[in-house]
Amino acid sequence: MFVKDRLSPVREELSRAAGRGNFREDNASLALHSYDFGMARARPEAVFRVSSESQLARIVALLGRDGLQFLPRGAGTNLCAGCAPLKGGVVLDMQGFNRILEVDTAAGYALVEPGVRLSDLNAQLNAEGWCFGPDPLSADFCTIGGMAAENSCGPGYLRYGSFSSWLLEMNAVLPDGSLAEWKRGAPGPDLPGFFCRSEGTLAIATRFKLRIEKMPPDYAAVLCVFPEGAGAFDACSELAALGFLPSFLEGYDSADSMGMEDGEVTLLYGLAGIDAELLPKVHSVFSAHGGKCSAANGYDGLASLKAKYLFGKNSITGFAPTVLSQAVCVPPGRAKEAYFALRGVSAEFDTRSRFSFRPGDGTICAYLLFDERSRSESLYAKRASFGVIKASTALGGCVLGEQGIGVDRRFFVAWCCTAETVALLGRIKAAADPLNLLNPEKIIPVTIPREEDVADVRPPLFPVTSQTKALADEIARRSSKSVRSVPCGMGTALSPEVLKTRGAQPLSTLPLAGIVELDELNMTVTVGAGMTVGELLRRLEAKGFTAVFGKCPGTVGGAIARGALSLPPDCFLGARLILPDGAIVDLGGSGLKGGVGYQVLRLLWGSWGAFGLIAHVTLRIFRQDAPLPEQISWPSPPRCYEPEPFLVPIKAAFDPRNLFSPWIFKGAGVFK
Amino acid sequence: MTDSHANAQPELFRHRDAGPAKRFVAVPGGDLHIYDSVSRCTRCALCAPACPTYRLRPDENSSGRGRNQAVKMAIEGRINLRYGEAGLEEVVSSCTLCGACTSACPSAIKTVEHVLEARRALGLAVRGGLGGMLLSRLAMSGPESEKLISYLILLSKAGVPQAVSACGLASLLRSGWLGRAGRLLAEGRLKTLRSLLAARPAPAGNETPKALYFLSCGENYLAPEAGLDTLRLLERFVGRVPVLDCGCCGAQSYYFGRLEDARAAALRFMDACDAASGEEELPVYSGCSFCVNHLRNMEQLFIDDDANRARARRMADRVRHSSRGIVAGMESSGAPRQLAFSPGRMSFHGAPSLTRGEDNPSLSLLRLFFGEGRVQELEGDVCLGACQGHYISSPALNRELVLRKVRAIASGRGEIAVCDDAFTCVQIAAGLKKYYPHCRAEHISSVVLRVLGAADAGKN
Repeated sequence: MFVKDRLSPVREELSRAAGRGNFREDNASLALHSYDFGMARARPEAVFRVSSESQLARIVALLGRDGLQFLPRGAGTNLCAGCAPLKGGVVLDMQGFNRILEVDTAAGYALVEPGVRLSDLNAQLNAEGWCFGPDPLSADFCTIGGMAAENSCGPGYLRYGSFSSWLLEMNAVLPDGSLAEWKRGAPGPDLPGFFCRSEGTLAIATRFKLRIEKMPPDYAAVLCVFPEGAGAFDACSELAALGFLPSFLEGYDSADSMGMEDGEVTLLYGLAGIDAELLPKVHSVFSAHGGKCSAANGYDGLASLKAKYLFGKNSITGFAPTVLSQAVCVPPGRAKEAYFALRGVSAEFDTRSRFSFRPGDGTICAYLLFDERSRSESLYAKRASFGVIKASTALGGCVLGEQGIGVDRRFFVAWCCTAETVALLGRIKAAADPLNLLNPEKIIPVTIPREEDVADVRPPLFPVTSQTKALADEIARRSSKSVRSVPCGMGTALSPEVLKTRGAQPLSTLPLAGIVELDELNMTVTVGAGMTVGELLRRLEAKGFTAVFGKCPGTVGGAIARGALSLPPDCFLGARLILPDGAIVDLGGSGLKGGVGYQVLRLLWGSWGAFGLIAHVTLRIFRQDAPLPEQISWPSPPRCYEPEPFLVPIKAAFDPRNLFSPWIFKGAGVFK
Repeated sequence: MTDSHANAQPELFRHRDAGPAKRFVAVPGGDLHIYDSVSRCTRCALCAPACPTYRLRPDENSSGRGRNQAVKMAIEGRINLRYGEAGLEEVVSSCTLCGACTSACPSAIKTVEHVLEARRALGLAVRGGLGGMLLSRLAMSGPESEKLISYLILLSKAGVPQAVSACGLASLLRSGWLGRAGRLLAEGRLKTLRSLLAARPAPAGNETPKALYFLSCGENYLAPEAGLDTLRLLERFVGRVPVLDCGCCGAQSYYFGRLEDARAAALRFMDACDAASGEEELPVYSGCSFCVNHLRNMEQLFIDDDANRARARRMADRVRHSSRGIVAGMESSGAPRQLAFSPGRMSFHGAPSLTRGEDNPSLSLLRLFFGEGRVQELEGDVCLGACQGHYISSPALNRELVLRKVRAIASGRGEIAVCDDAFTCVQIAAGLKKYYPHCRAEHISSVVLRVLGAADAGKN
C-alpha cells in the first residue's frame, strides 16, 4: 500500500542530469518498461532516456551513490526477461545511442553506438558492399548493444561465428559510474570478449568498434521442404560430413505438424562466396532425402526467401498469445535425437509447440505456445520448459546462452554448471558490481539444487583425471601455505630462472598431455593443456582434421594463457580450470555453443596463468579441406602490465590472495 | 489469473456512446473481445521497425507493441484510466493510425482499433464545441457540407483562424487546434473537384459503367486537379466510371470518436454504391488511400448489426485504390509501360497496406509504368498520419515526421515526391516548400497522366 519513494532524495539531481523530457515516472511509461519478449515482468521506478556517455556516467554515479538499481535496455527483444527490473530501480533506455559514428572500409571496421539497429547498420554497410557477420533473425529490430549482451550469432554461426568474434574494441560505463575502454589485443585478457553474453550485468556499453568484411560477391540459397524432420537432419549431417559450411542454416517445423510425432519441416540453406557454386550438390543431397527444393540467387533472393518463409504468417508468434522460448544447444551429432526428444516433451506436457533448429551447430529452439492468462496452460508450459532442458542435458546439451539467461532461465544454470562454477560466476558479478546495482538478479541462480537432484540432468562431463586431481591437490596444499605459483608448460615463455627471481614455484601442466576426446561427429577435441600445439596439430592431421592455430611453440594451455594464438573466440569452446585454491571449475561446454553465463574463457586468454591453471581445453576442429574462420593475430600481452581497473577485482574473484602469477599487475595501488 | 476469462469484466469504457463496436474487434475467423484481441500480442516487437513514430523516436511508448500493451494493462487495471494518465494519453495520441504494425504483425493484430478504443475511453474523442460541430457537418452529405467548408477555406486563406489562434482567443474557446486547421485549410481550393466535374461535359454514348469513382474530401477540397486526373485515367483504362458523390466516407468521424456519424456516413456510402451499381456490384475506386483503408474496414462499425455488417464486408471487397484499377486496365489493354523516360527522380510516399502481403497498388503502378528501380526508397512507407488529423492533434510529432521525410527526399536528391492521397501530398508539399523546394509533391494520377500525355504526343 505504501511504496517507498526511493527517488525523492535524488530526483532533482537525476532530472537535471537526464535533461528535460528524458526522465519519466508516469505510470504508463513505467508499465511499458516492465517487460520484454520474456516471461518475467517487473515495474521500474523511473525510466531514463540516455544518449551520451557523459550523461549516462553521471546518472549511474548518482544512482550508485543512493543505492538505486538500474539496468540498460535496448529494443527489449530478448527472450529471457533480461530487461525486467526485478529489484525496481531505473531503466536506462539506450535507444538514444543510435548513431553509426564511422564506417571505415579501408581499415575494415565500423564504430557504432549500442542503440543502433542491426538492420540499419547492415543497410549502410551493404550499400558499400560490406557486411557485419552475425545475422540473428531479429536483425530488423534488435540493437547492437543487445546483440553484445547476448553474444548473438544467428543462422550463420558456422561460417560467421558469434558477436564476440567481431568485436574489436568497446567503451563502457562501469557500475560505479567510471568509464572504461577495452580493446582486444590490449595487455591482459580479452575484456571485450568477456563483456559479450554478460547481459548488461557487468557494465553498460556506450560504443563498439566492430570488424566488418566485404560481402562475398556470390550468394545462393535453397529452400527445401522435407516431408519429415528426420530427412532434414540426415541431409544436413551428410553435407557436414562432406565439409560444407553454410552461411545460413535454419529450419523449422510447419504449423501443421504441431503435436504430431514428426511432420513437414522447412529448411533454408545458404552458401556465400565461391561456395555458392556448390549449391547444386546441396540440392541433390536434399532431394535424395526427400526434400522439394526451390533456389534463389543473390542476397535479395535470400532476403525474399527469409521474408516469405520465416516471417509473416509462418512466424511462430502468430500462433498463440504467449510464447515461451526455450532454446538448447546439443552436440550437432545428436541434434536429430534431441529434436524428437523435445517434440516428445511437448506432447508429454500437452503443450502446443513449434520448433526451429540449426542442425549444423546443434541449436534447437522449442517455442511453447499458450495463453498466460490461463493458469493451467501456464503451468503446463512451464513444466514443458523444464522438460525441454532436462531432455537436452541428458543428450549432452545445455541451455543456449545465445538467447540469454536473464531471469527466465537462471534456474537452469545450476543444472548446467557445477556448484563451484556457479559460485565463481557469483564472485565475478560481485567483483564487477560490489553493490549489486547493475541489472541484479540475472544469470546467477538464486537457489542451488542439491547435487543428487541434478545428477541425472547435468551434462555428462569427462571425469576428472587422476593427474588433474593430483594437480588440484597440490594447488590446494600450496594455497593453504600461501605459496605463490605459476602454471607453466614447456617453459618456452617462462624459464625456471625467471620464476626463481619472482619467488614463485612452477606448476607443470606436462602431465596433462594427450587427447581426452576427439569427437569427429561433433567436430570438437578435448585435450590436456600440457599437450604441445605441434603434437595436437599432427594428431589431428592424421585423422583429416585441423584446428585454428597459428604455428607456435609450447603447450596448448600455455598458448592460450599467453594469448599467442590467432584463435577465434568461437573455436575455444571450453576449459577445465583449477582455481588457485584448488577448486575445479568447468567453463564453457563440449558443444559448439557450449557454456552459459559469463564468458570466463575470454579471461583465460592472455591471462598468463593469473586466474588459475588450465587443465583441459575443448576446441573446435575442422576438416582439412573446409574453409576456416577468420583468424586475426593479436600481439601476445606482456607478462606484467598496468591492468584495467575493472580487471583487478575480477582477478581477486579467482585468486583473492594473489598466489598465481602474482606479478601480473603493476602500478601503484594495484592489487598485489 | 483464472482459467476462464470469458466472463471477466475488463470493461474499458462506460461512457454514453457505448456499443458493441467499442468492445469487440472484428478479425478474420470471428470477433474478439478487445481484451482477447489485445492479449494476442506476444511482445515480439516485429511491429517496431514498421511504426513511423518508433522510427522517429525509438521508444517503447511510441511503438505498436507499447500501444497494445498499454491498452492491455489499462484493461487489467495496471494503468489506471480513471485518474487521468497523461502518459497513456501520449501513448495513444501519438499513433498515426496507419496500420503498418498490423501489416508487420504475424498475428495481424489490429492495433489501430485498440488505440481508437483507448482514445474513446480516455475521453479524447471530439464530442462538442467547434471541433465537434465541424466534424458532424463534414460527415454530412457532400453538397450540404461543401458550402461550410468552402467558407472555412476562404477564411483560412484570409488567415482568420490563424489570427484567432495567435491572439489567444482560440485557447479561450478551447480550440487550440484552430490555427493548425486553418493552415491546412488554407491549402484548400475554392474551385472544388465537385465544381470541376459539374463543368465537365456529360460522357457521350451509352456505355455500361465498369466501375464507380468515389469523390473523396481530400481530392475534392485539397487536390481537385488530381481527382480529375484520377478520373481521366480510370476512364482511359477501365471504361465508363460514374462519379459517386455521397459525401465524406466517415473516416475523420471514426478517428475522432464520433461513431454514430461514422456509421451514418458508411450507410450513406453503401446505399449510394448500391443505387449506382445496381445488381452489378461494381468496383469502387478512390484516389485517396486513407478513404480506401477506412472503407475496407467498415465492418468494424457494424459489429452488432448483422445485416449491415454483411453489406459492409461485401462492400470492403469492392473498394480499391484507383491505382489498382489503372494497373489492371493497363495490363489488360497493353498500355505503354517501362517508359524510357521518367519525369524526374521519384520517390513514393503512401499509406502502408493494411492487408498483409498485399503490395501497395500505387507503388505497383509506378513500377509497371516506369520499371523497377526507378522509384527511390526514401522512407516512403512512413505515414504522416495525415488522414486522421495528426497534423492537428499531434503537431509536434507530425512536424518531426514531415521533416524526417523531407530529409530523406533531400538526401536522395528527389525531384518528385509521388503520393497516393491528397492529405499526404499537401503536407509533404508544405514541408518541401520550406526545406527543399527543388522537389515537388504530386499525386500519382497527375504524374502518370502527364507522362502518358507526353508519350502520346511523342508517338504523334
